[in-house]
Amino acid sequence: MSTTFSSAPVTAGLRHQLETRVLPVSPEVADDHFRLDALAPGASATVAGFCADVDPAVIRRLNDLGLAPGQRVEVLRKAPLQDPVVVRACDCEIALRRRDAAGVILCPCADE
Amino acid sequence: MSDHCSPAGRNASPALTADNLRLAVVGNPNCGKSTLFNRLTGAKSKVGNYPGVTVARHTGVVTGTNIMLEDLPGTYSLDAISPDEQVVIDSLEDPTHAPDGVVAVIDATALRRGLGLLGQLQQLGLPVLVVLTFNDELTRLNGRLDIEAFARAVGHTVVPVTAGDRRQAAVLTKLLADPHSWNAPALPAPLAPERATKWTDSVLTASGWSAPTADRRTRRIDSVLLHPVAGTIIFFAVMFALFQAIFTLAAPLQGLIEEGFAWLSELVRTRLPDTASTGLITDGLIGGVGGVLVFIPQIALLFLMISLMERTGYMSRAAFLMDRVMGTVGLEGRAFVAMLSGLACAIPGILATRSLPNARDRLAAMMTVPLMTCSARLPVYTMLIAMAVPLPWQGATLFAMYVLGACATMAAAWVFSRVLKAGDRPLPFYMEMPGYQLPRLRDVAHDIQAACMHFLRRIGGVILLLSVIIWIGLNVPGGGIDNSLAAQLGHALAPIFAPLGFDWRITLGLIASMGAREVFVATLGQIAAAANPDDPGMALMAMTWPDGTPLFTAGAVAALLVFFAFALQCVSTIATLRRESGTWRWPAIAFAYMTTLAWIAAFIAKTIVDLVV
Repeated sequence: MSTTFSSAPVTAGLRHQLETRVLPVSPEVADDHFRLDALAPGASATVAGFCADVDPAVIRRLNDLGLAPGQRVEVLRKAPLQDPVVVRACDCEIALRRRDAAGVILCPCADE
Repeated sequence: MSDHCSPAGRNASPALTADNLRLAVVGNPNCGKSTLFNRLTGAKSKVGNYPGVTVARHTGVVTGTNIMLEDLPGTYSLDAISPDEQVVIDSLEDPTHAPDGVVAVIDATALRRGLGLLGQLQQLGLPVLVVLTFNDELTRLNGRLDIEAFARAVGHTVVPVTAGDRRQAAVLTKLLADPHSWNAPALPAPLAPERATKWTDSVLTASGWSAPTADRRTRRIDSVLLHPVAGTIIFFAVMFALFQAIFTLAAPLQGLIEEGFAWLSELVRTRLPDTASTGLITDGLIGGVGGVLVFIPQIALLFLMISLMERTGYMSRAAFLMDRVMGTVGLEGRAFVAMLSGLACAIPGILATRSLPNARDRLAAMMTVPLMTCSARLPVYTMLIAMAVPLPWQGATLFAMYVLGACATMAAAWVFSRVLKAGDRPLPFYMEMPGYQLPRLRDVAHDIQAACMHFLRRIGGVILLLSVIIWIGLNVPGGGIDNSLAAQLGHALAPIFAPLGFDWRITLGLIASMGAREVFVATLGQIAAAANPDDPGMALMAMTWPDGTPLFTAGAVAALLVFFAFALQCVSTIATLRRESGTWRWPAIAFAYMTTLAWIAAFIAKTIVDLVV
């Protein structure tokens, strides 16, 4: 292994580093907080964290999609039967299923 | 460990020989990655407006250089949460074949999200070149970015590209040749979410970034096309218009092709002596080629519609509208795209299931896509419908066959997703809704051409080969059809199909159609032509059972239509299932369930039609 380049140790653990990223989760929704699926079309709020019962891999993906803590999310519309929903986050419009949207906890948006 | 490649530091210079420089193109879905790839390589892999269109691995050589580009599937993160996403990090971290550099394509209108991926790419220790796309779109949407300041803030060499700008392309090509000339940040961006967000914020602030406003044009169109009622009605109207157009607009062109080949066949017949080999050329070869080409107008029209849907951005709206429906059978909206691709051919449909993140979803979709009405069924349907259905109802009947295929697919998907359902992690469903765009004529033309060429190359050769084999089967050892080799096989299997109203000749057609469904038309055409060469269509109608009763009764035609809707009569599909599922088990199951289903459904159809007519 003496020929290993200095970059090897950096990359070797990348998967592990990505998989062990910690995002804020809470077991229950606080009084002034609500879930993304409860947000009405046209309304916006800020991502506070994620529900603790959601798979960590799903949480990491939601984060990477732009539903990261501190980011503003707006619900644009809902499909027939209220599922899925289209949200705008990080300047992108994404369709999410209600089930997944429910894993995102929001707090009311402070007017900027 | 490899003794070279994997440039360690940005300054380490392992001997990169120009003839094997390999670069990976990475970016979010829909960031313009495939367009850039096509422009650089001239390979023109299919580019769509729909996320996940780049499902396969595309490689190509940059025009005029020795640089190999690999177009990796669009991804939002290197943090793979499904086996399919693993492709990206696997090829970037490959211990023996890691690329010499990474071309990170970032959509300027989605800069924040693009930076998330860029931060992860920085951890690889590979040289990274940033290509910034959609700058013009950013300006149109009132956003702002100082590209030079951005390049300083991220620490990478940044190249903006605009569609059609040759000077930028030349600059980019020159840069690609030398990854060691690319700037690199002193330190990679942090991975921890909170710190990563801070890094992104600092880059955006330093770059004079102001976010684009929502696209008002897209919003206005969406308020109609995604309206719960109006949007759904429009969706079905679009689908119906698609099939009516295929039937009515393609017909005159098909007539021309048929006439052309009849003329050619006659020309050859008069020039050559009247021998068996002349028959092989005129009936077998020319007839077979004509029988393939005649369906090109329909396929071209279908792909015109699909290409327009993908390139305008409507395809993802359709998937959005269909997600709830697909959800009821355990699949997701994106599976709709695989199913829709299955309308062209089960092979691209099966390949398109790669965009499904969940392996079980994927298997369920893969096993059921062949039930969708593929283009190879279209000629069979067209012929059978024209034989038995009055003209005003032909379009509606064809539409009904497509609905039948779709319903069968959904029902089978429900069964398969239930059977395959395990205690798997439920993966999140997400799909980008890109802004609407006017498709470029050249791209649409390319899509149509690619589809037609695919049909001709993949199917054409098989049809031709089978046409010749059939001709031999029908004419050897000689002494009429009743005496031929093929007839013996048809006779042997006929009892199985007798309850469906099929005789040995139809059975022979079914046997021949295993190679490719549309061969059925050529086979019956040949059988009929042997009896009455003047008019194959009329000849089919004139075919009778030995006792003189008509063979193609309404009941038998209905049974044939339904049989073709369900049966897995396609060796190419079987081969693709084998390759994609990894075992012979799944194609074997698919063949067994589809053939059984086909026989039972055909029997029911015949019984009902016989009662009614």
